[in-house]
Amino acid sequence: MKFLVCLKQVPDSTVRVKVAPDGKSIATDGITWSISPYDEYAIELALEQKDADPATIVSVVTVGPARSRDALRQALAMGCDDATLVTADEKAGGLDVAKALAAVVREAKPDLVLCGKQASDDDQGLVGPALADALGWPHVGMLTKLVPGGDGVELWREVEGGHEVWSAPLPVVGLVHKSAKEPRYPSLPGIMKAKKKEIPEKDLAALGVTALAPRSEVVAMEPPPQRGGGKILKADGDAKALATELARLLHEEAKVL
Amino acid sequence: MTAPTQGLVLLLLALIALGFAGFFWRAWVLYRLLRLGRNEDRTDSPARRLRDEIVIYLGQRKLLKRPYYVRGLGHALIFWGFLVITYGSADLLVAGLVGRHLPLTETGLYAWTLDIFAVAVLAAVIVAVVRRAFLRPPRMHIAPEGYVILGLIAFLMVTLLVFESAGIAAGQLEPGVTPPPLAGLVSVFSGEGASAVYAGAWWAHVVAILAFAVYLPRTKHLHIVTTLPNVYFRSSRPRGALQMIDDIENKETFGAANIRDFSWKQLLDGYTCTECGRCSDSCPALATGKTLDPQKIVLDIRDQLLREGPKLLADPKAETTPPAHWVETKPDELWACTTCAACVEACPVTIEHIDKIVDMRRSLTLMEGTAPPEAQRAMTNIERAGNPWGEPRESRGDWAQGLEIPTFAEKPDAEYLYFVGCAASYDRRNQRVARALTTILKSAGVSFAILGAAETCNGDPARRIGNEYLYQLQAQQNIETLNAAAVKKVITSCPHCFNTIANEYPQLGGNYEVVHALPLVKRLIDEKRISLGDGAAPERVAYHDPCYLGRHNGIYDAPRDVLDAVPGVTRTEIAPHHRERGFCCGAGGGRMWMEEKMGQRVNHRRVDQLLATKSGATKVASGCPYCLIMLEEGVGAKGVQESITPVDVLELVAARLETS
Repeated sequence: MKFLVCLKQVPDSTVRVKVAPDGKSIATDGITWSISPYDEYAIELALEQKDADPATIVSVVTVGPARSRDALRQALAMGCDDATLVTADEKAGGLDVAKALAAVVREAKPDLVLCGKQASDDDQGLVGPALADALGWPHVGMLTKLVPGGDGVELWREVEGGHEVWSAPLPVVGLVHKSAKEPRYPSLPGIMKAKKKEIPEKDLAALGVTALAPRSEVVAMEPPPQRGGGKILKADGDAKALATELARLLHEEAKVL
Repeated sequence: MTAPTQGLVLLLLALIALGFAGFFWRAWVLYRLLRLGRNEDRTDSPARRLRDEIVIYLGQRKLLKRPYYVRGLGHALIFWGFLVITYGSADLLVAGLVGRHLPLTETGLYAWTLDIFAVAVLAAVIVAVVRRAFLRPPRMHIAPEGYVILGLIAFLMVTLLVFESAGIAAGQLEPGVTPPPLAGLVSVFSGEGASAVYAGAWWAHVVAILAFAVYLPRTKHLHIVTTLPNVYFRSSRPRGALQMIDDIENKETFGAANIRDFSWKQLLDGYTCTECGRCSDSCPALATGKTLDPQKIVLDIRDQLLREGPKLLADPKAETTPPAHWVETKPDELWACTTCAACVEACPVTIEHIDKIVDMRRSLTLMEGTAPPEAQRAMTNIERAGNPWGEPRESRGDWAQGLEIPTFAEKPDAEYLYFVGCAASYDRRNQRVARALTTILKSAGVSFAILGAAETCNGDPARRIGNEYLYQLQAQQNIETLNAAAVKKVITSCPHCFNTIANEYPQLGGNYEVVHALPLVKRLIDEKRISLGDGAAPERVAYHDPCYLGRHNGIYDAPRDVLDAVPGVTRTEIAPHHRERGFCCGAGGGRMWMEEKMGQRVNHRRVDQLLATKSGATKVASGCPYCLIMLEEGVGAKGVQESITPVDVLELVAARLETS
């Protein structure tokens, strides 16, 4: 079976994000970038299929600026077979990214396309479904497990309080929520091999994608307000007065009641 | 036997040839098996190695240790007796063959020494047998071969005493100055059959010696011979330094995945193990119900070598199976190790347990990618954020905000770099220790600066989890930063930072004068650069030895001296688990970031030990951020946080600083 995993390089979750001077984007100087966590789960799910059947091929692709190459290298180090970088502007819109990915998918002809259910930077969750739409393929979201069988694949989705099992014909787009195991840590030979692998580079034009005029615009970004110190109410015996005061504070100051 | 007949000489010659053949044939096989191992140069510093032979082999230094003094003395008597009597045995064979004696053997002094040792050995053997049979040490593996060997030794001693006394009685040996043990026996044998008893006992003795030579290399008693090279070739690295993988970028395999991946010295360790169980006795993992047993690691490797080695010798390309610890008992054993070095400290024959465990971890981590998920998370965090907790890289220096602590960029001529470490940078509890230290340094007028966000994890956890690659990346990054800032002297408040920068960075070309905060503070107190007053009420404080200060770096006294110098503090010990027998807090070797699901938690056991001393201590002081975190957790879990508070020694000092 052939897998294609679409990934996005995002600021690492350990980075303390700061707003850039333009007030509309984040400061990216010297920050650590990594594969978006849901995409890492998608890679792990695909690689588990490869563990079970070595004939499986797992390819990865990303659409983004040149620095995204490092994210692809990381995926190769984890054990993916090949990688494609589609260079695009930092601010390329989700629909453009989906169209570029669709062009890559048509060329590579995978049986299964996996994406993280959303990227951890903008949390839009747009590219996966848009890609399925551009390809005219079905898509299933919130995946936690996949079991190939017969002509299709069994897809496990996490739902409130349990899970559903869907089956889908191939090809299909799956949007991954989590893998049972944590995404694997690359072996050292894996890292070394990944360093030497060629990563072909394409741009949007080569894939026949013309960027649309932006459909949305970030107007402003601001950091969350500084967290104030907590308030401790003295328990001096009068439980009723204490409860009244607590209710008043929750209502008037915290505005949660 | 002063006038041997030709027939008897031939018989003796044949016996000697048989004995020697039996010994050397086996020795040759063992040597070839050893050569299956990876190459490793252990020939540096010959002077130190010779000194080790005298102290450890001849002096039996590592046997005569707490709490094994009596047992150790028993062994030393047998060993020294063995040396004296072997010389006598050699003389016996030479005299039997050529009728001439070796130097000194005919002196009264030697006769006395020989016979006193013969009796002492006999007594020690009886004690050893009784101990095995009736007072069995808990983790000692009792095999029948132990009795066979003890029996043989006893037989040798008895025949020696009998043939000597019968020989004197029969007038065939010069009585000389008859040593006391013999005087009584001579009269027993003074009768008709003295000559026959003499000859019989003599031959029995000779046959026993040669049987011993044949039997020895087929049992754990081979250690009599292998300890000699095992001590000589022991690591000359500081104990806290792991072996480096050179040229890591161009290697294809890492760590030990099969018997060939262990070095010849690691295999020699297996030949040398006497199965005494002292390592297992002192292992905190085993003591708290983990599957790890350091002795078993050594023996499993040996057994696998003996089992599969001959096949590999016959066919150099033959497939080998992975180390037993991957298959038979699962890698849980390997991951349970805290690298506390209690086993290394305890081993009388200088076996290096940690290196083997880390080599196998290296293979699991670097080749298989199968480190426990929490360990993988820690490594990813180190990689991406420069600390195992995954806290923001940029926030590393935040703890120092508002404290007027300069960075090296701000104060390039600072004498010392305070390498803060991840724990004191990010962990709220340990930030208080960093503040305590900087207060002390300022009070003493020590010129220092920190690196702030330019500092990154020293790499210790990654290296001990087996990720040598990540360790080297971290170390190189720090070395570059330190060199760029022209740092010469480094202070650390974390023993792990101390150990890695002092003992491991030199392997990568980073050479600095590194000092842990406690020896430095001791110096500041001695030099009267800080003065301490009765700032707080008198209290009893138990000292907990961090493994990477104590056993790994031999810093036992400085922290105690500092505690003793603090007014109002009365120091207590967590006896008998103190100093070189200190019990790990459970966090070393990367265990800080791994879950501990098997058995009792090591830190809980440590708190049990602390409470069991009933010393009245209201604080337990340490000099390590991991120990502090683990002790706090342990004290909380035991519900004794009201009566005993874990602290760092530095905090006690800072609380009593007198500003002049």
